[in-house]
Amino acid sequence: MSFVSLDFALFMPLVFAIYWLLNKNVRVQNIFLLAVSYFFYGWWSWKYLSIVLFCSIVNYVAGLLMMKEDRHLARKAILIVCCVLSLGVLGIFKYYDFFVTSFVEAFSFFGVPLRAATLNLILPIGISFYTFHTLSYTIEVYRRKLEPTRDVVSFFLFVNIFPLAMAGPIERATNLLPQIYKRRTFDYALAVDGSRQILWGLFKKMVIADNCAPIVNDIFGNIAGYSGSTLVLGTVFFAFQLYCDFSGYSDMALGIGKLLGFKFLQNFNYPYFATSFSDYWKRNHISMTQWFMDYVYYPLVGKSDKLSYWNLCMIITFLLSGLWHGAAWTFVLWGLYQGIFIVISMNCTKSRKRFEKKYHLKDRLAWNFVKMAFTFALVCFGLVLFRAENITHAWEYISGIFSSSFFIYSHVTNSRLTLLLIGVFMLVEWFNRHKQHGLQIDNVKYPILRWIFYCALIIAIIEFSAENSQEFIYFQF
Amino acid sequence: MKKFIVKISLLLFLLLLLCFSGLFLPPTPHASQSLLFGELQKDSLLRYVESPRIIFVGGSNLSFGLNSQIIRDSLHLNPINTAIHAALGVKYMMDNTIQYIQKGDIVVLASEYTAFYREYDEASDELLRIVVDVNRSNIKLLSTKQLLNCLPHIPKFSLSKFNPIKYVVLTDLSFGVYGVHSFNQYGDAYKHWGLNRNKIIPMASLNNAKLNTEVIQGIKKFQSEVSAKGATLLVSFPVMQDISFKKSSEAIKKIEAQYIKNGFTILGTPERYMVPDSLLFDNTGHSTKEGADYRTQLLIEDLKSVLTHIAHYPE
Repeated sequence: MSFVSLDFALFMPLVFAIYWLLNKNVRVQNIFLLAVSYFFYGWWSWKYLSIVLFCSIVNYVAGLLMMKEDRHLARKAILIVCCVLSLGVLGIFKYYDFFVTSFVEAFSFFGVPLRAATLNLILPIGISFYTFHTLSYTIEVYRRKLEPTRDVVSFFLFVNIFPLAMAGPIERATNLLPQIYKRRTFDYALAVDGSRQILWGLFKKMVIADNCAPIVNDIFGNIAGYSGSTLVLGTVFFAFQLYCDFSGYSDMALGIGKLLGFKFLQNFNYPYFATSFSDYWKRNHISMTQWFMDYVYYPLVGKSDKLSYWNLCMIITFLLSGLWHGAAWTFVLWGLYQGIFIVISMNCTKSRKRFEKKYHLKDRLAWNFVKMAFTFALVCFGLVLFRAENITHAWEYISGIFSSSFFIYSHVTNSRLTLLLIGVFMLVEWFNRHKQHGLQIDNVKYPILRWIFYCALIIAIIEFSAENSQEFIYFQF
Repeated sequence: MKKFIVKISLLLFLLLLLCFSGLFLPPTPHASQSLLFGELQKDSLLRYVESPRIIFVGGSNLSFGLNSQIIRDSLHLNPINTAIHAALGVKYMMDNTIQYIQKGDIVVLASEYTAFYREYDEASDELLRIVVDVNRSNIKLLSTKQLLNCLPHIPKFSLSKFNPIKYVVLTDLSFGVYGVHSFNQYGDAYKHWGLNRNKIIPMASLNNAKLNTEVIQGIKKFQSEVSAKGATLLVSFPVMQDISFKKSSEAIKKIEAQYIKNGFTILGTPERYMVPDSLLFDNTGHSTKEGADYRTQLLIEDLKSVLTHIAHYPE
């Protein structure tokens, strides 16, 4: 079930009403929430619910076993088995075909023909997200930073709570589990803020992302027919499509969480206002970046004090995060690109600061805009790899950009209105950049002005929403 | 909690009121110039044109892709081009046409390929506008599923009735390419004839989409209704840009195979109606004058080979 569907528009008010009717007993409320979460997931595929259950059971049992075990080696063995099982499921469904095909192609390249036995499995929706949910729990328990839970309902709910089930944010057990244990009371301010966040998420998804999608599909699908400058414009449209699609989903997930009394982790913090590449990754898909930092990068770095080794670890971490996104070489290269530029960005921080101090540029708005534009350009360029169907396609696209047609005036049919909408959207985000989301307008003094703004936004969603609604991009991961 | 529910309900009530009140307002001056209002002219052609008749049913590939005068001169039949817009859906097109079919009519259906890969009971802004603004009596033609599918289109449709721009007509659509007067006496779109061509952007491939056999069943039902009225149904293929055609060739083959399997009388092959960009006006299925003439000639050849077997065809 998608947040942007009639089914969900009927599902959510019903869940909200029953959920708060049951608020006298937190256990009953949690059982209800677990049931509706499974119903929500099962709406897509009942069969694949068994994988959610399998991952939940494995990690729940691992937690219990670690609770009873004090020996370090035994605890480590439990963690390893748990990781192998959880990541094994992810590996089979998401990466098996990719690795087998790559293996066969590599052998064919050296003249050794092999036959590939691929599985052609359908990727269970949200598998990358709930696998990381569960692993965060087991790793924290292993590190003794979290008490393992005996409460099976709470744990299973943590793994697959419906607002986060399809595309995150990747929650941490340390943040969410305590909220699940605790009795929740209806918080008017939180619910109002949640509703606003849902509205803002809908605007991002239905107006910006879905209007960018046909333009992006057209440009990426007909590279030869477009000038280099239009191909550049295509990456800009894709940057906004991707951001508004995913952050729109995250806003809706966080908003729904607030309606149910939960405070989920923030996933985006205006990434296109980042002034450097490292800043960008502190603001973009925060829950995933933080997960990779805590569970891949820091353990890899260990106690080493060598800068070159830190840089290598950073590149490896982002390479893996690229692979997390999708089983394709384009994603691996995209991850590598991110890793390289984040390392460059981090290593240039000191010299950049010296430069800013020398020329009194620090905190100058114009200088910040230059940095933002530069960072955005780097991000957009990398997104060619993210969007391309394969490496050849990406190469054709990049070659197209750097052709003589780069200097030809770019022209894309029906793109002016979308550009205008993006402009309005960015202005709203700019003025609210210090808030959690673009529609946190509680500082507006007169309620009537807020209501006018809500109505205007709803009318804009209706009037400008794209004809064909697109599936959320991150559902495929 | 109570305060929250009251406020949310109030907001939703206001929006619902706004949405549904638009359904009862007359069309805006801007909307009444659109080509959808051409349906009134086409329905009157179906009602009053005398036999022997040849009736063309389809989307804009037909409205933009036919020169009925040539058909009239070559086949000595009175042509009626009922095509307006593919978004109306093949079901609505057939349901509207069947009301006017007379004994001896020859009906040629050339539905867009995309129609076979979409829901049979699909709805669109255009369908909603035609049954609310243009011809309210046609609401009865819609199935329950179509009516339900229309629901998500109501907010956008209704809000347009409150849009001041739609009352202060900024562009005179009425005599433009997509206006109510863009059709000639046979129902062919002709206002674009002689105008400069636009760049043709290829269509996305249909090869990965799943063929909806419900559409074929719907056409079979239409065929039996046509036969019951003593008329004949022939199926043809839409004009399509060659690049787009090749991109979707597998999907198109499946449609042809379904036509053959279900025993329809087919005019030509899909490949015959594949055309280069030079014969297209502004999209993969809209022909220029030269394109329309070319397609009409092909259709006449295909019709001639079939019509001789039809008993009531006037020689």
